[in-house]
Amino acid sequence: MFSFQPVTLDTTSPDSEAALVFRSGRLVAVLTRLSDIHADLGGKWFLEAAFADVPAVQPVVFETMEQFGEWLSEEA
Amino acid sequence: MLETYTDFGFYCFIDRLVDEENMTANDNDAFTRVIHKLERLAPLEQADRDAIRALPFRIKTAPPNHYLVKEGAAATDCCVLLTGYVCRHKTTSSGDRQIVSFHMPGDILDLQHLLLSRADHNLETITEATFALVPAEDLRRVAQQRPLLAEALWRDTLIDASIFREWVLNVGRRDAKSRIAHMLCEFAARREKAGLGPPERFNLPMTQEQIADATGLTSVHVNRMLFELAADGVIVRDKREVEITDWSRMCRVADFNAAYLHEAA
Repeated sequence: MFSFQPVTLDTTSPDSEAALVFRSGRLVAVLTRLSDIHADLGGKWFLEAAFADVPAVQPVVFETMEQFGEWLSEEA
Repeated sequence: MLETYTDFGFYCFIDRLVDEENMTANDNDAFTRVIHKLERLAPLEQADRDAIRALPFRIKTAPPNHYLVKEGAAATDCCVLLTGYVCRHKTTSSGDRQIVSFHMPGDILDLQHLLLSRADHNLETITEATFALVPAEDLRRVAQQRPLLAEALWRDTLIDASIFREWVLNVGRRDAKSRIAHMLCEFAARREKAGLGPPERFNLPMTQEQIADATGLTSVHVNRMLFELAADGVIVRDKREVEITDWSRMCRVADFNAAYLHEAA
């Protein structure tokens, strides 16, 4: 159901590794792999931008990109 | 969920020690800082100062992240902050928090309770804080008897309102880097005016999560912006210790003009 497309994101910070998240071919989120400027969060995937029904008020991080789908199911 | 991931804890420690020593020497000194503040707002006479010092009060200490007032509560006292830092915030029905102001020693945290009987927002400590609780009816009575004191309190609420207006502009219309820089400039300027230290170097008492809640950003974005401000060479940061190395450039980045602070800067 979810597919991920690697992209390079320009955040003007070292956080540039990112992925577009598609659900049934439609873009629903952008995940960014946090760099080591974020201390303990370095290496985790941050919900950078959210579309459609993806809640985006609170900051969310995931250990892996794939956890995004599980989290969204729980939030729905 | 993202946790606060910075680990500082030495905010304005020296300020706190000094204040507590003064309070032990003479409890009336509890109002020294607030009297200094009110003197900037109106030409108080000795009788005004005496009237403040004669107010009944109770001294309380609260740990960090402790609610002093909760939205909806009946308000019978006004809090004068003596040491530490406090924020006002409101929350959505789903629990998301927006911090609407930061407060420092000498601030009267809920002056609106002179005339409004219920709290319309929350007051929560950021650090350990000591405060004096003054019965609202006593402060109201003194304000009615002393016109210059009433003028100072009125002006204080007007300046509060001006700061709120600036925060709406900051959260609504400035980009992320400017928002963070603006918050730092305001904190530095108010802190200096309150006699808490020079604006160029200070320890930030708030966490990145609290800064995020005050600026409508995530703590990840706050960390990025602090990183960028340091990379731009306008600040030097070591955990919570911040040095503004180029004040005029920082003000340009922040779009900061202290005029809205009136006598608070």
